[in-house]
Amino acid sequence: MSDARPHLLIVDDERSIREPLAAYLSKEGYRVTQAAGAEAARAAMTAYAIDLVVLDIMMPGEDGFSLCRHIRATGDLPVIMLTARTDDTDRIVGLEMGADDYVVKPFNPRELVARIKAILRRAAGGAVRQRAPDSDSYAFGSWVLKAGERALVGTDGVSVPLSTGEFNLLVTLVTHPRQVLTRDQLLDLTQGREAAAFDRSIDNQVSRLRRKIEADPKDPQLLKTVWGGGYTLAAEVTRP
Amino acid sequence: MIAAALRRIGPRSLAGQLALLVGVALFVAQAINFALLLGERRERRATQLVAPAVVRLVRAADRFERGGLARRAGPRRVQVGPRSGVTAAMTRQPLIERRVAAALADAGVSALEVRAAEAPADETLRQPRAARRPPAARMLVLSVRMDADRWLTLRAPVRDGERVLVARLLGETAVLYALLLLSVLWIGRRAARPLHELAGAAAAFGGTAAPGPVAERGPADIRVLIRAFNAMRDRLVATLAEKDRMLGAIGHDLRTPLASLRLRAEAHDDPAERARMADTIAEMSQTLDDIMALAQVGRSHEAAVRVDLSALVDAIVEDLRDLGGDVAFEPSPRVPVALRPVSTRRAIRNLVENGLKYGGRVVVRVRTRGGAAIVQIDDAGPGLPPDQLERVFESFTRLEGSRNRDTGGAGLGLALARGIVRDQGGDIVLENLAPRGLRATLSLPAKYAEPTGADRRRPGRALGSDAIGRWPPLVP
Repeated sequence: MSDARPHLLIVDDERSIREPLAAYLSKEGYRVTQAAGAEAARAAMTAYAIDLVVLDIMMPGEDGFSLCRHIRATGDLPVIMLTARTDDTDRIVGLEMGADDYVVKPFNPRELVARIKAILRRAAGGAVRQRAPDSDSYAFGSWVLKAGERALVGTDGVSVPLSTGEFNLLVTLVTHPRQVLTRDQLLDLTQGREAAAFDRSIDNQVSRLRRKIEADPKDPQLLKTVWGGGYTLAAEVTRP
Repeated sequence: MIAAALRRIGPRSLAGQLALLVGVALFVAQAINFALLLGERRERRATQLVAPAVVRLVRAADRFERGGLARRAGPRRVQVGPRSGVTAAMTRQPLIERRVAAALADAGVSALEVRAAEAPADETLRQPRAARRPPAARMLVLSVRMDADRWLTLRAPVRDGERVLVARLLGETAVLYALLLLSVLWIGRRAARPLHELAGAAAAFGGTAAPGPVAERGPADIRVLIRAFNAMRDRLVATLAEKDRMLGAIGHDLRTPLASLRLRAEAHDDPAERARMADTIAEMSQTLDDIMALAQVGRSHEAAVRVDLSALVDAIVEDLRDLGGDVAFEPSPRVPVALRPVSTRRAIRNLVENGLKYGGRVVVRVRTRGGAAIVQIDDAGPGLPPDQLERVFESFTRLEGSRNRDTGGAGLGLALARGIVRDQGGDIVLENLAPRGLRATLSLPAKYAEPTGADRRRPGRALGSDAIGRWPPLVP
């Protein structure tokens, strides 16, 4: 029987996480396969058409980093990492290994579902797989957006920290330069990453961003309004 | 005692104290040497002066006794007169008097009294006619009383040997001082330089392995000290690394069951109960975070970068507003400061969250004052009893009295915030506002607080919800 539900693979050696998580995700309407280690995970990936992997980093034997590298080497399967560490090491290494996103334990399962949805939607839309931006830099205009620091750096080297909302909006814009994005598209693209912090209107975030990046916020040159359309970043974006 | 006196008044450095001690010892030795030399010199000079003078006197006395010595005026070596040539104004020389008296007695001259004195040379002195020698500046006046009203007076030039001697001794001492003190200072510095490095390394030791071992150099005993210090440093680094590893393991081991609990809580039927469980778990997780962060304070791996403090505070306030906090950011000038962005963000956020928790409504502003960048966080709460203003910064302190578990927190947020800020050379203080409210003032050394030329190129706009078009004060 063919199953239309997205098929998730949970890889975690901790049964106390794996089982309740599997139960929760099943209730949320996903088909879930569990694996207690890297070996079982490889077997499951061969046996089934997995849509997304939820992968714990710290596992005995082959760890999550190694498995993630293997998954990335063999295809485009999206990966969300689970980490128990709040410092940035795991996160950055995980993202460099090619993970699409990460959550820190103990995580809110609803937030995990929101991220799963966002990634699956992007994958289904045929969009080029968008890597999580956190370890990247984007240069546009006279600014460099440092995703890892959540800050803009100006030509004078002084960094200007951004709020979560501003940051999410700007990441979306720099990853879609010179494209007109409607408010709905912007909301959609920025969701999944701490959606709660983004319930203020897009317009509000845009005007805050303009105050930070435009020489004259009343006459924006970078973040332009497109009449009847939405917003666009009118600048070349390079990856320094 | 000497050491105590040196500590109080003398130089404090090793080289300075060594030099001072050697200088004092040398001075005492030279003084003794000088006194001995001077005494001996005087003795010799007396002998040198007395012998020819006595010969002349004896001859004159002979002639006098034979009546051949006339009373003649004019500068002669020996004169006869009714009064002694030694006047009251002259300095008597008892040593020479005794010598002369003894010598005359030996020569069989019977003198009633002998007086001797030194005086500045005057016209009564017959200067020898030897060329190429300047006239003597002083003279020796010797007067011998032959009978009731006749004195034989002899005036002889005195070459001033003492001054030459003093000048030579002073010259010698100066050369000695120069050589000795220079070498002592050199040795002292050689010993002190590695000690300074050691002190610097000890002071800079923040627990990270960043300051490497101190290079072993200098005298052998100092090398031993440096080696011991380096060994201690290695042990400390190892201990701290072990502590990190342990805290990481504890964090992981506690986070996993917490995550499990969080997942199971989701299966609970009662939504209110589910939310409460989620809150408790979030709080435990936060405390765990704080403990681990607090353990890392002072050993931060985070690099300082130049950040616009106003934008940082603005971003924090914006995030908390998005989460429903009643917090406002007052228009503030652009204040670039070198700081560690992630931990400083955490410190400021802790302060604002604290204000929201106890004060309900919070206003934040950024200012510069003197050489410091200031963040003021004012809440509208009841404030704190004055004796608690410091206590709340202690780890795991919960305020007694009216504050219960719900509002007391684990008492880590403020300790952590202060640790983070102090680690960067700043501080956090609390004060009560009139008529009500609590103000937390966070200060950071504003090494880059004033806009530099480069900063001015980009128009620095004031940030804040209604601050469009406001400019920071420009530095002339």
